[in-house]
Amino acid sequence: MSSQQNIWGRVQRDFWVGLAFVVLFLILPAFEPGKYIVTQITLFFIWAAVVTQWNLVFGVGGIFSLGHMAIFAVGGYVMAMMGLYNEWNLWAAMIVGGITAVIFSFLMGVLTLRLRGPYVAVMTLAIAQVMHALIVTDVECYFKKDMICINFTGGAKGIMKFGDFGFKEWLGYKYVVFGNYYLALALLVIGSIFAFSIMYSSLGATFRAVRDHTICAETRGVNRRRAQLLLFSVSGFFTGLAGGVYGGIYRTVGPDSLTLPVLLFLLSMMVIGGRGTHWGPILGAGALMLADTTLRGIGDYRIAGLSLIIILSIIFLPRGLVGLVYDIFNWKPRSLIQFQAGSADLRKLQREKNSKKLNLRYIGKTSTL
Amino acid sequence: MDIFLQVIFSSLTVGSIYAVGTIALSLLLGTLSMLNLAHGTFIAAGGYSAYWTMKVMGAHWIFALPISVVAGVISGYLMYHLVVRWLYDRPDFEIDIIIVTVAIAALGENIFLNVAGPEARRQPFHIDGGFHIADAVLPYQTILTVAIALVLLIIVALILGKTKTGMVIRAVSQQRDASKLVGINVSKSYGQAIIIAGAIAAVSGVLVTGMAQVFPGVGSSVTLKALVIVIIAGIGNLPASVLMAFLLGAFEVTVQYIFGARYGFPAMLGLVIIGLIWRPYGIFGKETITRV
Repeated sequence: MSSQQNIWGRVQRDFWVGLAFVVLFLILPAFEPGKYIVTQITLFFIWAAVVTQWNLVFGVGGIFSLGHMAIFAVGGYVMAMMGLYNEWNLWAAMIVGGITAVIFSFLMGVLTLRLRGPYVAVMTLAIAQVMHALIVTDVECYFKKDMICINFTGGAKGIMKFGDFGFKEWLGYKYVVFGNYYLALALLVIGSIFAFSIMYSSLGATFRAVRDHTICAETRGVNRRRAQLLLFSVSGFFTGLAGGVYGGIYRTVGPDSLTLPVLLFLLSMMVIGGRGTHWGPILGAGALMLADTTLRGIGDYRIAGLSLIIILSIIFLPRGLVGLVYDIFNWKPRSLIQFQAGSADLRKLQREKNSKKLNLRYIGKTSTL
Repeated sequence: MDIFLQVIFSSLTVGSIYAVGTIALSLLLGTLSMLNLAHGTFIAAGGYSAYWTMKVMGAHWIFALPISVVAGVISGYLMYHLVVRWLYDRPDFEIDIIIVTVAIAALGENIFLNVAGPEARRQPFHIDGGFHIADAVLPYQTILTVAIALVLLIIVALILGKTKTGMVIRAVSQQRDASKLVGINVSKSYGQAIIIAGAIAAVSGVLVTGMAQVFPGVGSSVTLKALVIVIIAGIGNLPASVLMAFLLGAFEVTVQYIFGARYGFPAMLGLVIIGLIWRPYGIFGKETITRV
């Protein structure tokens, strides 16, 4: 089996799936689906874009970072501060926000990536929580606007009134939602192309090697820390941009994105979609947005419902929806598997059966659907 | 001089909360390399069960700790049977357990929020007053917490060191496959360790809520700080993590006293990160070597 050909096949399949996805969502507003649905789909694009980048770190790189929302928040906050204090154009401020997010991400990587696997999770979570605590307790006056005292970080209320993307002037009041919609779609598409090209490049192979067997990768000459730091930093750019897009669309940037429920929501998107896979984050984001819209009906127990979904999916679908789709497309009846073994030698048959079981587990982990 | 004494007493109080919070975490992390982010749920379970025993049922205080132990055992049992036993054999147990326990933490907090309500209540298992030493007050509750933390530490050491269960848990933590070969039921020993950790965490929950108050999210901030302390002390080194709890508690209180309350945890985290750059396996930790 030539692996080069194999990869080309997968690239082509991903290209066509992606094209279908983009075309579907490009023409969707033409059917006038209603404002609420358009807003929800916009939110889906933003979360999918964030989770795609997080998946690069968490799934492909195997760095258990729980501080990804901190990078998202940095992107949003820097954009909002540029807009509010320096009165910059929000588009320029958004780019600056993305670049600052890369720097922040790099620093966070320098501070935490010396640690081994699970401890990275604790330290990154702690950094995000510290950021949340510092923002919420910020009460000092930094700036006065219309006789209202504004804290440097906006405090618990968040930063508001920092301008918008100007869709109102370009498109008219009625079409602002569609402007937001296409902006978020563009973010998702460009971010995904970036993520896919990393996953298909030799860099992606390096990251996967470090994830799957750090020691083997190191003995083959991969510098683990440098590779992980690189991945950690580059994933920051589109995360920061997503923070900016989110802030610009909802016209407020607050500390809420650093709280545990939001982290849980995004984590469940990645886990349920299938971490480390190509389409997992987008599939998971779609599934979770659907579930969340449904769960709003049960109000108080929404978080409990989300948590149950995560727990059940880890237990029953450890490879996520993508793994499920993979199994469905590659399904073979068990009798056929035994028949193909084609031998009366019981021991050999047993070996075949076991290797099939064993392989499935590992194929699942590295399968790239 | 009075201020100095007061800072020392406050550090002792904060340190004792952290110390009592780290024991169960350190136990699970050290023996099963299981990062239990749902530790806060155990803490809340212990706190609420003690509250329920004394306030709602009106029982004598002597029943509070045993009932909370029962609550902790039940939560540990549920966590093992519903979740952990399906996961412990997987190749990515370490990360799966983090994701699952984050979810359990949120689930527990949400359930407590909906069942018991959002308001903070006063924990009735609490001793008022304290020693007055030259205008500074050393609360009796602090002394009680330090004492119980030490007792818990001794209990854990006895269970791990002297009992057969503890021997099995240690064997599993050192060589899982080998212990399976000599006939140890690995899954069961995971369950036992989680149940022990649940009971200890619930007792610590009663003490933690005795200092703060009982509310649904009481466990999460203690859990995060306790985790950070366990990591900087060195994984699985229980006495070291208790020592680090007091040291970092003192550092936090001092920073809070000088620069204001909001800089306490950030400064502590900064110190921990510097410590980890200096020694990535914790101050008292040993470098572990992974065999290929």
